[in-house]
Parts: sequence; C-alpha cells; structure tokens
Amino acid sequence: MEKKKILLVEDDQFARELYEEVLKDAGFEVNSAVDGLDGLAKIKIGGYDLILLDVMMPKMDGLDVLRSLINEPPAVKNGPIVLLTNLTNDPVIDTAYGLNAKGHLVKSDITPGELVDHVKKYTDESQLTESSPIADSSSS
Amino acid sequence: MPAMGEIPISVVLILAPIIAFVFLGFFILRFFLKTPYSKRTFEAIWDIEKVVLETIDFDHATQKVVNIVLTELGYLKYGYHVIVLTLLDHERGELRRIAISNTESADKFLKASPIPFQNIRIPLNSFENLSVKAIRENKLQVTSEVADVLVPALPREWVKDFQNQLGIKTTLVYPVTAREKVLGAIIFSLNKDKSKIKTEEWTLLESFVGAVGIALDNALLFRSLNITRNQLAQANARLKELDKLKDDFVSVASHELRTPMTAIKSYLWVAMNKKGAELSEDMKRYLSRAYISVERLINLVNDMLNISRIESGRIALKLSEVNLNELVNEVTEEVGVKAQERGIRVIGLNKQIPKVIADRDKIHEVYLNLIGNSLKFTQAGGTITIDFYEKYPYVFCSVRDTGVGIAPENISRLFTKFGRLENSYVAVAESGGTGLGLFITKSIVNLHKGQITAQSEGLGKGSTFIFSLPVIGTDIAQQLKDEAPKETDETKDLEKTSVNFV
Repeated sequence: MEKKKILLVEDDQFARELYEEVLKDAGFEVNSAVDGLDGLAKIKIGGYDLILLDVMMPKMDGLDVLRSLINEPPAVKNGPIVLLTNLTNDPVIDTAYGLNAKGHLVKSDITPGELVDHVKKYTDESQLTESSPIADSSSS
Repeated sequence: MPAMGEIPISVVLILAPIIAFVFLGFFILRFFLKTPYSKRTFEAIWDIEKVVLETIDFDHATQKVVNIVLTELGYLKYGYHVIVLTLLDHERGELRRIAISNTESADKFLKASPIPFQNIRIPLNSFENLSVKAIRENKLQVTSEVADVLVPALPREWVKDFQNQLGIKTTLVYPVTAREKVLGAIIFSLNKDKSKIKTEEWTLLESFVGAVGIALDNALLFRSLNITRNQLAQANARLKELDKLKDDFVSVASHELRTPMTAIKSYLWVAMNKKGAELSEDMKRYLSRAYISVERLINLVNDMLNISRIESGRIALKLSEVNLNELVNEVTEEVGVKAQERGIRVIGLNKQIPKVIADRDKIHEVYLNLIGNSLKFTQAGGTITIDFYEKYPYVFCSVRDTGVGIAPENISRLFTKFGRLENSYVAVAESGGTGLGLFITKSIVNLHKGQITAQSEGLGKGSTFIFSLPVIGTDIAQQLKDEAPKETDETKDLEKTSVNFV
C-alpha cells in the first residue's frame, strides 16, 4: 500500500524533527518546511494527503499561506490543511477556518502519540471524501 | 481641592445647594427685616441665589457675582466703581484675581495695568497687603489706598497715580467664607469716604458677601467635580489600556512558554514510548515524574491565562436553557472509564428538576473539575454521587464523595488561588493539578450568579461540593441574561485546563 504523504510546516526545529520522526515511525512519508514561504512553495507542488501548518512562523505566517492558496490554488491537489500550533482561543484560529483550514491541533495539549492518531484520522477521512487525488503526483 | 475636607464630593454636591438655599433664605430674611427699603434690592439678592443654584461654569458664575451688585442693585450711583473677586490658591500659596466687574473704571484699570489682571497674584506672606490681612484675620479691612490691596504685585506709586485718575476714595476688603472656611476676598472700590457709607449699605454688603461665599463655594465644588470627573475618565481609559496590554502580554508570553514546554513534553513522551528501547523501572519513574511536572506547568500557564481573563472580565457566557440531568449523564459517561480503573462508582441521580440558565460547556467543566477532585481524593471502593435539589430561584447541584474529607478549618481555603491543602499536595502533583482549579470553578459559578460551597463532616468522612444555578424564568435568570459578559472581540474562551478532567 502506498504510504500517505504528510507535509509538516513548522519553524521550531525541535518540534519539527520530533514530529517528523514519530510520523515516519508510524508509517507516513513526511516532508517538512521550515517557514511559511518554504511551506507555500511545497504546498504548491501538491500531492500531499495532509498538511500540518504552524501559524506563527518567520517570513510568512500560516494565515498568509492560507490566503495565498485561496488566491492561487495549486495545480495538483492536496488533502486537508490542519493547523498545528500553540495558539489557543485566538481570533486567528477562526480566521483560519474561514480560509479553508480543516482543523486545529494544540501542540501543548497533545502527546506525539495523539498527534499520530489525529493524523491517521484526517488521512482516512480525506481518502473517503476525495477520489485518490494523489495517485498521479505520488508516482511522479 | 480646597474646602473639601473628608466629606465625599457627591454628598457635598447634593447638600451644597440645599445649604445654600437655607443660608440665602436666612440672609434675605435678615436683610428684609433690617432694611425693608427696596424691592429691587430683595430681587437682586434673589438673583444671586439663582447664580448659586444654577452654577455650572466656574468663570461664568464668578463674573456674574461681581456684576450683580452693580448692575442689579444700581450701586454704581452709590459710588461703587470696581468690584474684584480673589481666590485663595493653597497649592501656590497665593491670592489670585478671578473676576472683575464690567464697569468703566474697571475697564480703565484693565487697560492701564502693567501686568494682565489674571497675573496679579499676591503671595500669602505679603503681610502688608490688606486682602491677605482680611483673610488671615477673617475680618473686614478698610483703606483709602487702593495700593494696599495690590502690593506687591503692582508698584505702590503707579497705583496711587491711577487711583487719583479714577477718583477712588475708599476700598473695602471682605473675606469670603463658606462652611467656616475662607475661600478668598472680595474688594469694593468706592468714590466716596467711608463715613458716607450708610448703615443699610453695610448691612447689604454683609449679606451680599455671605451669598458670594456660597456662590463661590458652589462654583468651586462644580469645578473640582469636573476636574475629578475628567481625571477619572482619563484614569479609566488608561486602566483599560493597561488591562488590554496585560492581557496581550499574558497571551504572547504564554504562547512563547508553550513552545519549549511542548518540546520537553513531547521528547519525554517519545523517550518513554520509544519502541524497542526498554527502560529500567528507575528510568521510567524519572521520566514519568518529569513528564507529569511539565504537564502541570502547561496547565499552570493555561490556568493563569484563564484567571487573567476571568479577572479582567474577558470570559463571555454563551447562555442557554440547560437540562442538568442530560448534562450529568454525559459527564458520568465521560469519566466512567477512568473511575472504573480506580474502582470508584460514579452515580448520577436523575431528579425532576427545572431547566437552568447556563453556559453548558462551562458547567460541564465545573462538573469535570469537581468529579476529578473527588476521584483524586477517594480510594478504590468509594462512590461519587451527583444529586440535585431545587430551592427557588436556584437548582443546587451536589457532588458527594466518600473520600478523605476536609478538616473544618481548611474549608475556607479551598476556593482561593493556590489554596490547595498541604496533605493534598502529592495527590494533586501526580495528577498534574495546579491549585487553581477550584478557584476557576468558583469564578465560573459566580459568573452565573450562583454560589459554590464545600461541606465535610471531617477527615475521612467524605466531601460534598454544592453549587447553584438560576432556574429559567426567574428574576435572577433574567438578571443573568442581562448582565452576563457577552461575546465581543475582546472576550476569549477558557483554555483547556486542569478543570478539564485528566
């Protein structure tokens, strides 16, 4: 079975490397980006089953990434974008939902194990709702 | 604020016009009895009373006062040429001129004076000045030299020369008093000798000066009220700004704190859960204690954020009609597994009770916190019972356990910040508690206009926590709907906290 592809956009090195590690151990293929600009460039390539997007990042924040995607949707489709942040109860969360974010995970509230559970749930759902959007791109 | 003493300004402001009225009545009556010679004079004093009662603007009132005796009483023809009102400035230790009559002589003086009228200030230690003397001795002073009331602000020679041009022969200085305090002095300059002043005139002047005292006192109070109001408005705006800054700071700081705390928590978790890397029992204990502690730290940050929001009124209530039986069923189901693990039964007694007005999610958290506490302090085999009773206009909700109980002397400390009891520290530490849970719980109940209390027969005899919520359709429910903090851009929801059952 094809490995699910995850894009992790996270500027904090410790968090990024750890999440990369646990997701890979759980059987996902993981690409990561170190800031908003890098993230946007990778999202535009397309073909990810799930994108985990931090909000507070250098160069371009998560909200601006979402806005850019609305203005210029990637040619190759991606699965859902879920915020992975330590912002809670912040107006930007609501804004993000308005900009097509599908969910919101608070890093300090969850264990890496719970992150894997959430990621599995999101990727399973996206498979049900979308008809193999990544078949073409993953083979490329 | 001169002449205020210890009396609150609001009381003074209510009383001042009443006292003024009584005093004026007295002056008018006395004047009327002693000098029943002019209806116009009587009306003029009445006009002064109107000034007293209608005073809003300080400058306007004082100007009116100095003009009234001249214009209304026609006293110009009796030789009264200039009337000047001066006010004590205690802060600067000087006597300041605040109003001068609109008369020809006064105009001439204003034009000729080498320094502007408002800048003629007499230091209170200028003992040669008659105004100062009048104030110090609280007694009328009479002189033939106008310079006596203008030195040292204006040179004696210059005043003498100018006095001759105007033909002023006598100057009277009355201290102006109200409520037994000297407020300033009023100066009358006449073009006749002192001996030409009739008895009735003296009586009128005395009555007039008394009325001026009340008018001036009133005007001062209104002015100080305005100043105070402005200062309060500014202080209030500043406080709001500071409150917002504090809240923003707490928000940013807590976000910054979460980043390293998340890294510690996550790496500890991986260290404990790494597949194929068996840990010794000691190592497991070290890591698990470090993990519990960082969880507690995260909870603390969240609870502090919550308290900051609660205390600055930034927690909104999303009120609806809540069926408590339904809510309790949900809660008992939610905690069921955890309770079972610990061998504790959680029983929700369904009762016929009316619906209440509440923010459902927040009351859900209140229940989770209370049950969570009970689980922490109840041993295997124990029971937690959730019950209700109605006592108009509230429904009282109780959470009763068969746990360790609370010593009577400790009950009052339960709901304070960090009011955790000493012997409970270990239990709380192991569960990641912060010592803020009951404080937040109480704050949530209080936001709902309810109360929370704790009862225990003593150590080892279990505890009962009871909180009240308003029944729908009652006055208190309506009051809650009217007054509960509404959702705005400024309000935020509660953070996930130790209130949440771990």
